[in-house]
Amino acid sequence: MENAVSDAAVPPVPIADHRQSTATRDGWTVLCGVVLPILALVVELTSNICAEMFFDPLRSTLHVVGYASIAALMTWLVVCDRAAPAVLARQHAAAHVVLGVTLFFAAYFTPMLPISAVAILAIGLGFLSLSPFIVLLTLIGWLRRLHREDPALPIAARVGWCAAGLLAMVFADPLGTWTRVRLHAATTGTPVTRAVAIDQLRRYSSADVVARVFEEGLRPATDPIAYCLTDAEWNGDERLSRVVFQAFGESLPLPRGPRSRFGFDENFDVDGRFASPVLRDGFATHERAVRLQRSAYDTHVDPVAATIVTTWEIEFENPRMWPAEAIGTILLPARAVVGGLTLWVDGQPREAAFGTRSNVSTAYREVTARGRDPALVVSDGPRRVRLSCFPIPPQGRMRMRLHVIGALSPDPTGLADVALPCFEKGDFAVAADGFAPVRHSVVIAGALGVARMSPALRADAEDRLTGALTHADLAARPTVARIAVVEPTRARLWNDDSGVTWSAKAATSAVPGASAFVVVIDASRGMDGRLRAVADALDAIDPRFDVAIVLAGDRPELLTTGGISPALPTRVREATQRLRVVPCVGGRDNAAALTLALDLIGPRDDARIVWVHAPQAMSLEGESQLAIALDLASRAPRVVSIATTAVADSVLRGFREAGLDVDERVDADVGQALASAFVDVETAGAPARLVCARADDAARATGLRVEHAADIWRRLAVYDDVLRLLGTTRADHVEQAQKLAIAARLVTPVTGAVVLETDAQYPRFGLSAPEPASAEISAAPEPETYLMLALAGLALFFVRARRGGGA
Amino acid sequence: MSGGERVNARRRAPWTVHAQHVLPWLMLGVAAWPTLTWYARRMIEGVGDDRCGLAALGLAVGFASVDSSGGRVAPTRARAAAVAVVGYAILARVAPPLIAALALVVTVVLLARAQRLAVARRPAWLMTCALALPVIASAQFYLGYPLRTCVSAITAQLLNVAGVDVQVEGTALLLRGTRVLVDEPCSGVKTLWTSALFSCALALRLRLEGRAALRFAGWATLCAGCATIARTVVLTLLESGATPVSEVAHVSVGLAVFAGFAFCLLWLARRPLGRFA
Repeated sequence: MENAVSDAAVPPVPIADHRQSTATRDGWTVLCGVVLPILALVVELTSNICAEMFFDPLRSTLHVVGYASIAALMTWLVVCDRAAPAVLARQHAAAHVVLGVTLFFAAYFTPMLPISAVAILAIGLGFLSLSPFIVLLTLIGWLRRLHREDPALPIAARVGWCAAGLLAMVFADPLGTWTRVRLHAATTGTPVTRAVAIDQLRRYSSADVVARVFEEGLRPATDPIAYCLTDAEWNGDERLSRVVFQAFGESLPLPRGPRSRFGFDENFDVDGRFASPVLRDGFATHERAVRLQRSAYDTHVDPVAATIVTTWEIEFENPRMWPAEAIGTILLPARAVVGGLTLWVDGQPREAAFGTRSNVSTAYREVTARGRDPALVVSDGPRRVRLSCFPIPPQGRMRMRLHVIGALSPDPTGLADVALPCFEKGDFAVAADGFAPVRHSVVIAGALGVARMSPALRADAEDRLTGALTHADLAARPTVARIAVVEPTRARLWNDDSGVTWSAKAATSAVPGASAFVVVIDASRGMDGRLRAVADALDAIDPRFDVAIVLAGDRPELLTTGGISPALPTRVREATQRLRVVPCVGGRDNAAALTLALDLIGPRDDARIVWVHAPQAMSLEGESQLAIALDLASRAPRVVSIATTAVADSVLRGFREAGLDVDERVDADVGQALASAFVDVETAGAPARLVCARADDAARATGLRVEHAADIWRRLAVYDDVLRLLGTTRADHVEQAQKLAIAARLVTPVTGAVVLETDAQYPRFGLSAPEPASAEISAAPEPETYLMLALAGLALFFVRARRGGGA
Repeated sequence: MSGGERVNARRRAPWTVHAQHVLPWLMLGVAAWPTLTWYARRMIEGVGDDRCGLAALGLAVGFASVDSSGGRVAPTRARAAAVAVVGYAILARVAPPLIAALALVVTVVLLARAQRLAVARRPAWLMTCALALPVIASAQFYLGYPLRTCVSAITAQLLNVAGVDVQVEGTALLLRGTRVLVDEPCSGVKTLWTSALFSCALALRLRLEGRAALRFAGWATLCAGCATIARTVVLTLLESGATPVSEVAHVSVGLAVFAGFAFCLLWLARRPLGRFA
């Protein structure tokens, strides 16, 4: 009956006109409902243009399927014959589902409407962002037609199908929504709720999901459900950073996987604003524009003089349109000191002036305010210096060279480690691995032979190693080679300018060796796959030692019974069996475990803490307890730190701030490092210290003359003097130390090095102008290749012209 | 084959010859896709002087297009080219991209020889194709230090002979109280690369083949080495003076020395070809 009424209501249309109008309608549908959505989908999936500039409309696979379903439905409507009522009913229902999907995307793109309109008017682009609205108009036309053809579908069913489509899109990212809700609980709940939420995040979510969630932020448009459930603005919240670190062992914002779904790794497109490569393991924790473009080490090891000189050339690049600063902390090898800094200004190398720390810092601050060309190096704690440079010109580079001198410290067999300085943290990007990692070019020359420790290096000759290390390689093991020192037990002798003979020798530590250890073992993600090696090293521990083993989990756990007791094999094995099955996840609070270790040691003088750990990038709750425990301790505990990689560690920083002398070791093979630490600490209570003094008759009789390295030894002797003076509390000693260090051109805790733009600027800040750069200059740089090519082209043109003329 | 068939075969020849010439290149292009994309990426990234390889590529393509006097494919050489393709395919999986690219260059030359391209007979064309690869950075890395050591040692000897007291410290020169570094930008690798390209272009222009080409390349290498040493000597003397030397002076001296090198090579090239044959 209804059909009859409906048919009667429609006026008859001539067959030719009807065919023409159908063809026009189908053509319009194909263009607006099929081609445009597919084009928008393909462009967004391949380029991520909207995701990178505004927001990600295709956050999950379901969103992609939803958007693709629009084109699928339109194709179905155009192609399929609707004569059969069942097909018509299915199409009608499907059209309402797709209506819901389209409404979702239209609502999503509503804020883009004005931008699209302006873009279309200005540059003729922006149709793709309008595609949901165009599709919506097309779909409404089709719905009217379908409703005429199939009026039997009740209104409730229509609304239901439409709501289903809409809700499918709203709930399309359940893991993202759940992660947001759990992150909120982990940051705002009670301690118990927090622990449960962190555990659930570890189990059911992942670092990639959190990275995506963090990048999308919490807005009604991105995740309305999570927005309603949490009602919190947690972006940039420090508590959130802690939670993410505890759950996944990485700091925010987390590095993402390949940005483009079809193709290039994001490291490939390093020039893009959104494509700065980021370093894992907490070094470069932000997507940063300034990046380390080039790094080249040239190390000369002298086995006779037992010295090592490293020239490290660094180049930063700034792809932005405005100037930027680069600041980084460099971990130096043991017994090494920065003895020079060269900055290239207008293509010319300029040497640094040395001055008191306050003078050089003031000079740097005031000159950077005017946007000039300074670079600064100051001490940043034991074995660390901080390098700052500004301005790296827009879309330009800044090149500098750091000179590091040091003494080799041979072991009883006469072998000495050759380690390189490396960045521990910084505010610039370094691609650690991936498609285009920064590779540190390394050349190590040792006159009498040098053996490689890093597999990435190769021996070009017996006395020369070359290779290229990624930053991940270097941070995991800064000790890249070993060298046999000639006459390792003999003191080195040299004469100063006034003819006085000096000697340098490693002094045996006055601290007695240890017979008891509290081994604190981190169970963070960075230790994954390494606990077995640690367990093996513990199984081999000498039973004469007393030992206790503490596991740094979410809460500290004492794995051995009976406190610090003899390392009986059965007792240790019980602990190591547990250790072998411990899962390494997230970032654990090592400070709490170290506090427990301090309690266990108590007043024992012969006990050491051996702490095996991955870097703890974030300050967690346990650090305040540790600080209190350190304050209350009757004497400073002796700690040996064995880290898996050279990355800034908040607990180690706390130790440094508390004035604790920590024996820091970095080695990715923590099992081997732990075994050798037991041996070292048993034989010597602390690392052997270099002692430089005027040579007495006995030293002259037995020492080895190293006049060719007198300059290096003279400066190392001054460094030794400076540290000794700073160990006292007398104020005049500080001044004396400053004078000595400035004269010897050394970066110490009280002095620094700065390069300013002109010589005239130095006196204003109480600094003496540096020695002219010509004291050490690049002699004969080649002209640029393109200039020589142009010249060669001219010559060829000349030849051709002459031959042509002759012909 | 009857006379009529022969006539038909001759009529069909252009089509089959074209297919024989074009299809192998297309197939090689598909097979070498990973290396080609790597090459494209290196050119886009443009680390150091990598992009200068495009000049060599242009030169190689230019000479190939001028000399494209191809004929029927030589079966023996075609088999050699096929073996080279297999070798390239294996190397592409196991060797670093640069090595695979060098293997591809060899394959390209063999294929061109199989197709009887005149230019492929000339060693200079092979060299030009190799120079099109991004080799400067690798050469700088592997050859830079030995070259610097040699250059500083020879420079010191020359200056000593001339009466200037110079001492060598590794790759640095100590004269008149100044420590002059012969560091990476001074190694001569860029000069060597440009000289090689220039001499290849000249050799191709002179259509040198076999021993003549090798002899010419030897002279060119010697001239390039002399040019690098001459530049180092001049700039070292200038740098050790009282006044600092500007960037423009550095570049000018470098270009003047290179111009001298080019002149020497042109002079050699003007000599009768029998000198190189």
